[in-house]
Amino acid sequence: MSEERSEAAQLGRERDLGKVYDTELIKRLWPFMRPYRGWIGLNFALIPPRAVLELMPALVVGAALNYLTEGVTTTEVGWMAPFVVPRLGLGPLAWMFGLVFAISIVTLIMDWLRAFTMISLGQRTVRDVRRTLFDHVQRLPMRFFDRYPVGRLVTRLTNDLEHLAEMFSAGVIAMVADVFVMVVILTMLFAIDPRLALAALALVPVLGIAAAIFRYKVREAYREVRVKIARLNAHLQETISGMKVVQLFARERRNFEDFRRENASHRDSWLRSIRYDALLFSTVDLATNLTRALIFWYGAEMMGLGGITLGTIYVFSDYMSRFFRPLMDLSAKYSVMQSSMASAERVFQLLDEPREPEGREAATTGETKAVAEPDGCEVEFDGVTFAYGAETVLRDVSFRVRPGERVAIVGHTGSGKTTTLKLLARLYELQEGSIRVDGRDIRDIPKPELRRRMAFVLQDVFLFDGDLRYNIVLGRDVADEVVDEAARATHVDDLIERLPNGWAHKVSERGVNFSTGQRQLLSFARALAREPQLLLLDEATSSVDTETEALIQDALRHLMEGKTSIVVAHRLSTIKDVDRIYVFHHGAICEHGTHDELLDRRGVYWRLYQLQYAQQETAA
Amino acid sequence: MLWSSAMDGEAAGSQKPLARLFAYMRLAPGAYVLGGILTLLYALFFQLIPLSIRRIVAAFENAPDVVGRAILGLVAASVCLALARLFSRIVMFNIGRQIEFRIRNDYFAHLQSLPQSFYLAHRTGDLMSRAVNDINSIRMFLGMGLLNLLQTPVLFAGAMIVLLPVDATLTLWALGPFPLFVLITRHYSRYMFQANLAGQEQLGKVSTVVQENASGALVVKAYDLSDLERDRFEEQNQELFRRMMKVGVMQTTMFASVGLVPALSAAVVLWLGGQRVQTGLLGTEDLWLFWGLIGMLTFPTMMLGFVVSITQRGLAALERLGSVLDIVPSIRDREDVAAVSEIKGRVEFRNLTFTYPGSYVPALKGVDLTVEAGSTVGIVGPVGSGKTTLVSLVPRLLEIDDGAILIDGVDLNRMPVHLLRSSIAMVPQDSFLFSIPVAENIRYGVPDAHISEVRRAAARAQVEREIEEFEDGFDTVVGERGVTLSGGQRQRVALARAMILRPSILILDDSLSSVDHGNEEAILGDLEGRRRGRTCFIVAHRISAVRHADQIVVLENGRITERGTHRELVELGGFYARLHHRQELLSELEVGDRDAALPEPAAGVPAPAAAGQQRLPLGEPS
Repeated sequence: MSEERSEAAQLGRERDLGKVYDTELIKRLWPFMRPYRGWIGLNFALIPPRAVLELMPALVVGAALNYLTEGVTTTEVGWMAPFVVPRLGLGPLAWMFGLVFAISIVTLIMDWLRAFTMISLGQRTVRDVRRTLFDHVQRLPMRFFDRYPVGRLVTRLTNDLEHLAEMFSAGVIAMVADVFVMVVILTMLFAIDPRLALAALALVPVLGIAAAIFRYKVREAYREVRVKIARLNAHLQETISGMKVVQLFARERRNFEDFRRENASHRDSWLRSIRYDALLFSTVDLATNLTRALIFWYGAEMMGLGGITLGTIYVFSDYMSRFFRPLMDLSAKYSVMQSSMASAERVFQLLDEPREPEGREAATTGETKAVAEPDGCEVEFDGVTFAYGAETVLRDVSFRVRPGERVAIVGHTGSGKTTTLKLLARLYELQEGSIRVDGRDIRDIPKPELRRRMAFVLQDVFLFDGDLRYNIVLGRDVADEVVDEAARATHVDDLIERLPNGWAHKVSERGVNFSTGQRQLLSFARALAREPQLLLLDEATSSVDTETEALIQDALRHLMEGKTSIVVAHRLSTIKDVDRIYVFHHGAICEHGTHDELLDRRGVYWRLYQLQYAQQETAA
Repeated sequence: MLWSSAMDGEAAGSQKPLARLFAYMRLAPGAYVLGGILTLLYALFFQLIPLSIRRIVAAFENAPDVVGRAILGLVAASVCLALARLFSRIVMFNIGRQIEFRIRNDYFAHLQSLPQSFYLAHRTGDLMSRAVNDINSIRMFLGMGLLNLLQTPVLFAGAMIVLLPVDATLTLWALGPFPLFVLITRHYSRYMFQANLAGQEQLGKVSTVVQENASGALVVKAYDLSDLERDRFEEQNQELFRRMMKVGVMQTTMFASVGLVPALSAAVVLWLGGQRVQTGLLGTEDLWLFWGLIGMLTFPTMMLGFVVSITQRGLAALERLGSVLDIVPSIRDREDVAAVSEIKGRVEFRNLTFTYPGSYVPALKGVDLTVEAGSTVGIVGPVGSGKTTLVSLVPRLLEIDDGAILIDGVDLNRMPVHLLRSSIAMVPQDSFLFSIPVAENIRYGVPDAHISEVRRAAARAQVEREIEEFEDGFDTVVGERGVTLSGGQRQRVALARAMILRPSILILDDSLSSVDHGNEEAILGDLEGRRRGRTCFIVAHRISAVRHADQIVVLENGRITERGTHRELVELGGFYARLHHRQELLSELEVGDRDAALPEPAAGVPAPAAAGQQRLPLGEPS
């Protein structure tokens, strides 16, 4: 819930954004678009013919008008000759109908192609960005996940990228096409009749100024709306999350008044933007009709002198309405661009997060010692110090585990036990000292190799969306015998037998349909199927019923067999079984030895034992 | 559909979506009359444009001397049309926004009146999507939708009235395709919405993969699953691409093909109309009229098909929103509300049994407990034993289903809710703070409290000094949009928020768990001094917080298993005694102060029954 809240808060900050076009961002986007430049090329290639074609029907109609009024056929027809001279043995009117029909069909095809190329480009680009972004996120260090809320990550990879796609379907290139049409119209008007063209354009400066003002106002209003709706939704979200406090403190009325005020302010911003939008629409409309009147008026003047036809007037009036039309949806396009740019910026910010460091340069993929050390590997911590931010968790920790040894780590909550395991798996980078596996610094071992050799059983068992087998093998190619063996050794086979679909049983919503004990057994099977040399086990603290407890203890024995094992232990049976126990206190090792040795010493371990384990003994 | 069946029982007097809409529309009848008049005017002026152009063209050919006047007619019509358009748009769209405003207010107010059991059954995300997506759909329907639904038929009828007398056959040829056109767009847009839905669904799957991957980052890394996860993601990503392409192609095809109909109409007018001009049945100016109207009708007609779908979606959204708005708040003043003006604080639980909706196992079973006014009761017990549930029932955050609670001898359900809640100060377990300044958080229950009172409360909660060290002191915004407080600081601010009140009943629900030992002692000492005349409920895991209470009860599995004073319970040798013993040992270890509190299930969430005994944090025996 806090993630969602922060998302809303993030939106609240959007008032700083609002760029409509950002060259820097486009430059960064280009590598993703480059593979599809063919689509862009096709789209651009279609702009000129499409623009010319758009202007054809009016010419035909104009020609038809002249033909009908004056019966013009061949000689003094000028620009309209191709349309009036019938071909294919058709009558003039049928010919012109055919022409308009054909032009419409071709226009349709071109429109379709243009939109299609844009959508293809947009969706393909976004798909590729999404792929890259996901891969990037996966390579970010654990520290990143500790501080970046999951909800925000999801938004980056979904909503933000969808906004980016909108830029393609309704963005820059459409504007380019609009401008092109305007240019072609101007050219045609001047080619047909420069004097009338000048008259027709008389209102353009006025409209241009008006549009610029409205555009600015509309943009401001839209931006305001976005900030306010974000704030409003954040308020709502926070109220829902904190509803208990609202009700406990009887704040409903006051809170409602606050909400109502924000809601009203949001509404007023909308009303403002509606006003400007309506003004823009009506102004464009008015300008179009007034320009028509202007064309008629000047045309009438000229007609008296001859040299202008009704057809020409029709063409002019049609063209001028097309000339003004793009102004209408300018504000809509503006707001799309604005939100696309803001989204793109957030996406690239995430892409700028530094990735997890790989192995050092010396890192080699050198053969694993899997063959040489069948019993597992040797692990050595040498003066390891580590802090999460300002809080030091481990201080100068040194210990050594020989191949095949079983070692337990015990200590109070927060004494650094789990962190030790995480550092060994190189989930975090340590600040001082070094960790060696088989004599090699783990920073010199490529991560995949390091992690392939170990199985890490986490305290909270995380089950993936998929069937049971998938959750055991985790996508690796594992022989059925290995899986069956792992299931048998961890008593997962009993569980599977009881399920109607057996191995194919679907794990839903991160395994809520399994009990804590069952989940632990599953995670053991997962670790066994990996056939690791090194087992890192963070025992779950939760207690389960005695029957399951017995199963778990038995499974644990199988799990630790024949490999180096480091266990953060909570079970008495586990600590009694291991070769050596390290007692952590305030991030440092304060005692070590076997269970009996440590009990004899009557130190920290002894007291810890009283506190944590003695009851298990009486219960057992 | 999204609403669980548990809610069905509470829904009453449900309204049909249209009825609900009319109820909102009735609030501002004037706007609708005005909107109707403007729409009619718009339709009228709309026809005047092509009509005046026809006059001009006719004048061109037959009477050059009246051309000027005819042009002035066009100018006048243009200005009138622009004005009508301007105001009808503003009026109609404003109506949509006004209704949106009201609906959002109602939704918000309604949510505030629903009990906590509702919030256990509904996720914040669901409720937010109601507010964002559904209100959006409703507004689209009310704005663009309603405008078009009203305007387009009028425009169309007007065009028919103008054109039919001129040439009936040609009118049918020219405007005949338009209704068909509406059907086509409607058909298309229905498929488009379906495709869109499929796209949104897939987007949901993509988010699920991302969510899973990020939440399981530790496993993904430790088991080197990045490549595998990438492939899994790519599969969903490709599917999303395919679905989005489908939506795009459909949209493209629709927009490209709808342009064909008016173009064909114009061409038909050219051909057939041209022939009629040649035979002298029509004048060229009549062709202008036809073309003019065809051109002007194109866009509204195209929108109409769209609007039909928008309407359907809007009504569906209204219905979904209605399913929340129709839930009758169960916690409100009843008709037989007691005439009480003050609460002294004697609380009596009588054979109280409580089961969370959707759960089969009662969270509280037959609890009998009397807390005298001004006395303090300590409540201890394992996680999930019902402690939070017990104290949450007192301020009526949950509805009692079996048994009763009496306050000063009056049935809780008959207590005026406002009086009840303003007489109780509760510090809930999760110490939720709002993203507002610290001072505002502290005076949340008494918004008019003076800053000196705020400071005093903060001082008593041992958090004043730390707040002063923030950059903006008491004006520092906390939470996601500001400074992040530590767990202990949050708890102490939440305490200050309760301490600023002067309640008859004070409830601390494990409110000191993240507070370190020194501060805890100071806070408890302060409470000790001020507790006279005030009933206190203290839920705690630490003995130190309850040892001085007048009575202590131990809750296990929803039942009271031990009760007595500290000394009595220690002698009893049960749960409490074991807890006491462990904590003695713990303090010998001198690590108590370093420990962060162990996570617990969120307040009020019933513990899963199947899990048996829960997690075993230190400081609690099994």
